[in-house]
Amino acid sequence: MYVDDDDDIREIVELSLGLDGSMRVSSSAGGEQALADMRAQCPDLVVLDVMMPGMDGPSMLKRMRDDPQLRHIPVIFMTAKASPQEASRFDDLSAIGVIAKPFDPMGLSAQVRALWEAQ
Amino acid sequence: MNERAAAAQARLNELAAKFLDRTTGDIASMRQDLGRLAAGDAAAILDLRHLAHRMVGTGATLGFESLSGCARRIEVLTESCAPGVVPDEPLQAQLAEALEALAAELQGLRS
Repeated sequence: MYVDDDDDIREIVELSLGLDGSMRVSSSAGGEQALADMRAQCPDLVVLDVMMPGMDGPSMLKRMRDDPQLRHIPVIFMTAKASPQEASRFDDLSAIGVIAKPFDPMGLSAQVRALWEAQ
Repeated sequence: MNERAAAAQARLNELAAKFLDRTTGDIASMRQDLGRLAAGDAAAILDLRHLAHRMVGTGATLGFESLSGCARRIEVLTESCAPGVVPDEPLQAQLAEALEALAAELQGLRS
């Protein structure tokens, strides 16, 4: 599942991840609805945008880790501010990886798969 | 390129065209935000930042790096503003200049 408040980026990510024929991809615009969608769909992996209004990516991951139904789900962050300090902060939050924005739409699925398989 | 990749690329091209159309409207909204700032509405800076941030990310992902760079200039300027405070006139002038550079970049892409 991909979570981002930006409609266009959500569609691009769904298209991109769909290039990997073995992934079934859903998306959510964020906030409490995203957490509800995760509980309903039990995704194998969640990719979270970092900068979202209301509940940002790190806050959403904290909520997931406090939720018995969601705490086991691996999370990858996507961010335009992928500095080493930020990456270290995301590691501390138990994310399995960080993908920098902007990303290559035709190469994103390979990036996600590599992080997923390396966890 | 396989069939799935070709279909994805075709859809990306459609999204790119849609993005340019929407950016025209967003620039008009950003001009209104600058007008609100000039009238003393400090909250307008958040709306300006949100539009610029979205333009930075979507533009670069769809291959419009130069337009994204122009939007990034606006985003950086808005980030230099103290929360809840109307930016001073020199900063408002820089924002207006950056917005016109963005509009010119879009015009170049569309012509």
